[in-house]
Amino acid sequence: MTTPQWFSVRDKNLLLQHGSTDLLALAQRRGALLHKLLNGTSIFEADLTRPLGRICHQDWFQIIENCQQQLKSPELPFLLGESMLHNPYISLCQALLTAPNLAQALRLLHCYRHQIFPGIYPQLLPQSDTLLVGVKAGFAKAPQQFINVAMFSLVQALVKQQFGNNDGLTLLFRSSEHNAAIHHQHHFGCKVLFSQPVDGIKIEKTLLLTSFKRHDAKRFAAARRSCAQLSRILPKQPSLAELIYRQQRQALPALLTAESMASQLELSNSAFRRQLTQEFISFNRLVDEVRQDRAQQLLQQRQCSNKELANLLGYSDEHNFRRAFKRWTGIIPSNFRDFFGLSTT
Amino acid sequence: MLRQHQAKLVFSGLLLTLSAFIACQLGDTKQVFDWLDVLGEGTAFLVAAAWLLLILSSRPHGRVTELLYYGSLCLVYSYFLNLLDEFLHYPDPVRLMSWLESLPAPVGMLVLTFGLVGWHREQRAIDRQLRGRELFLRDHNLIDPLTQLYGLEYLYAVLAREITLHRSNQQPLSLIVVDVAQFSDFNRNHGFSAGDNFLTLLSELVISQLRQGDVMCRYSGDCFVAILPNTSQVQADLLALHLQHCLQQLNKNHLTPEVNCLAVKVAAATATDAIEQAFVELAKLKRSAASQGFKPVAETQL
Repeated sequence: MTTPQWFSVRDKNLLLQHGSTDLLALAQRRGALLHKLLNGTSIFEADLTRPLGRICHQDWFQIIENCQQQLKSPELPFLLGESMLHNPYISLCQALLTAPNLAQALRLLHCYRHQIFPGIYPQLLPQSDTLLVGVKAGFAKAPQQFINVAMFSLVQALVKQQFGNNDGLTLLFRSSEHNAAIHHQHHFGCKVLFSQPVDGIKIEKTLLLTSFKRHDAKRFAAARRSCAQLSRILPKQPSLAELIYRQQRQALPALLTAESMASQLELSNSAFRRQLTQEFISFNRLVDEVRQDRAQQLLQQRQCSNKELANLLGYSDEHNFRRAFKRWTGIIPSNFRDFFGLSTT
Repeated sequence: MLRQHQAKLVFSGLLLTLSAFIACQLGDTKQVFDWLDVLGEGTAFLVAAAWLLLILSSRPHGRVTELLYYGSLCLVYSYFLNLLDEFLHYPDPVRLMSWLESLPAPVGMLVLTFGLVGWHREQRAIDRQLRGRELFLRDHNLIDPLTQLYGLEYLYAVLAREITLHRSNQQPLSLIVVDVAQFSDFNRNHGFSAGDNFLTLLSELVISQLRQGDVMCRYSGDCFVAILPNTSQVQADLLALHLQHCLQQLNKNHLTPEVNCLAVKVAAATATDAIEQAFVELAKLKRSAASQGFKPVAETQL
């Protein structure tokens, strides 16, 4: 049997010790009961001690939701990211800690991200003197804010540990500013912006090649080797949403239909539809998202006329493009450039 | 908690079944039911039964619990017979059922009242236990599960009220900020469970040293803020110094991280500004400590 090209929300492709046990330990120390944390999942207490025990995304999301429901503790995602970074059983994190520089560490994180965060996929948006890494959700019904914060906290802790401060980082959140803002500000200790077009991390390019304080070539090579070995049992599969996103991104300005996508994945139409419903994906919305991201990316990178953009994104004329852009962001393209210029300074 | 009270639950169930059985033996079914009465009395019975369950599920064994239990059991019993009354008709010479129906209710009310008085006393004792953790507001949703202190939202709510009160009475109000230096390093070197333990220990220690009327909240992560009502800057400085010394006792073997205690007089008009001002002062203190080569903060203040 060939492994499918993507993983579903019920595939057990996450190791329990890559995050789940850390989160459960944190929650238990705060007074939550283990059996209640595992409520609604197919995980038993005995599974937690098994080496290489696995968990599927549905259960992982359920555990996060149980934690949030049982504990009013806003610090959990921040602590989760940091404790994952220092977990000696996650070889990817060990490799990150001993990497020669940030560029190398990010490259490694990108390459083996399916080992710790398979449910999200990055999107690189290079700008003149910063690198913006956008983060997109692979599943529609996921506690995405929690997972994003955990991931940002991991990267932030890495930078802080290596450079002593994290001044070169800016964290972007799509959600509007609310009560949690103070927690974000205090825990991250770097600039945090809300109501942004993407969730992501903005990194100053000067940081990328500055060498890390704790670089250790021998341990780095060893940790990297065990990452590569782990890849054999945790195959590199994208989520279905990521797969469609990437295909559509390559196909622009042509637009894929659900039928053509199904034939590319060697599925019948109805089977493909069933998969989409199972993962809570709306095909048209995903295609729309690709165009939106590409439009914003192009607008940030260079001066484009609306006509040019409409051509690049597969719109029949510029009016349709303008209307779509207004729908996505609430402003017209020319204003967007100013707005984004403001938020970068 | 409910598991502790199994015997009581079984007893209540048996009592109700037994009386239902006796009632069925004595009376005959009515021809016409008044459904409005059934609804009213049925609701009263169900609510009383729910109260009984809630009491049992939220309280450990003890005198107060017994009083509350027997009082509400009498009420439940009375309401239950009241409800049965709607379906059954008793022959006139039998007075037993009407006594059983009307007597337990007033007795139950009386016992319940004694129980509530006991509960009130108990609550005052618990309030004394909570000294240093709570001021005028109680909302269990805002409690931080690790240190059992109130969190940030509570701090802002209480501080806003205290600022208004103190300004109108022209009394001094101060804050103490307790900040753990390099906490993430400590976490990394000793593990996250050691870090959590340290925070719990720290909060217990600081609370035991605060005066009556002071309240400490967990601002976020490794940072705590204590509100000191009616305290001048001098007094607050002394208290901060005292806390610093206590915490240094904790740090005898240099195994735990350094802790900064800083007293700040509240001059701002809003809670947000006051906290912000306190953190500006803290940052200044940290910078000066760093430039003087990590001398303990208490000494630099002297």
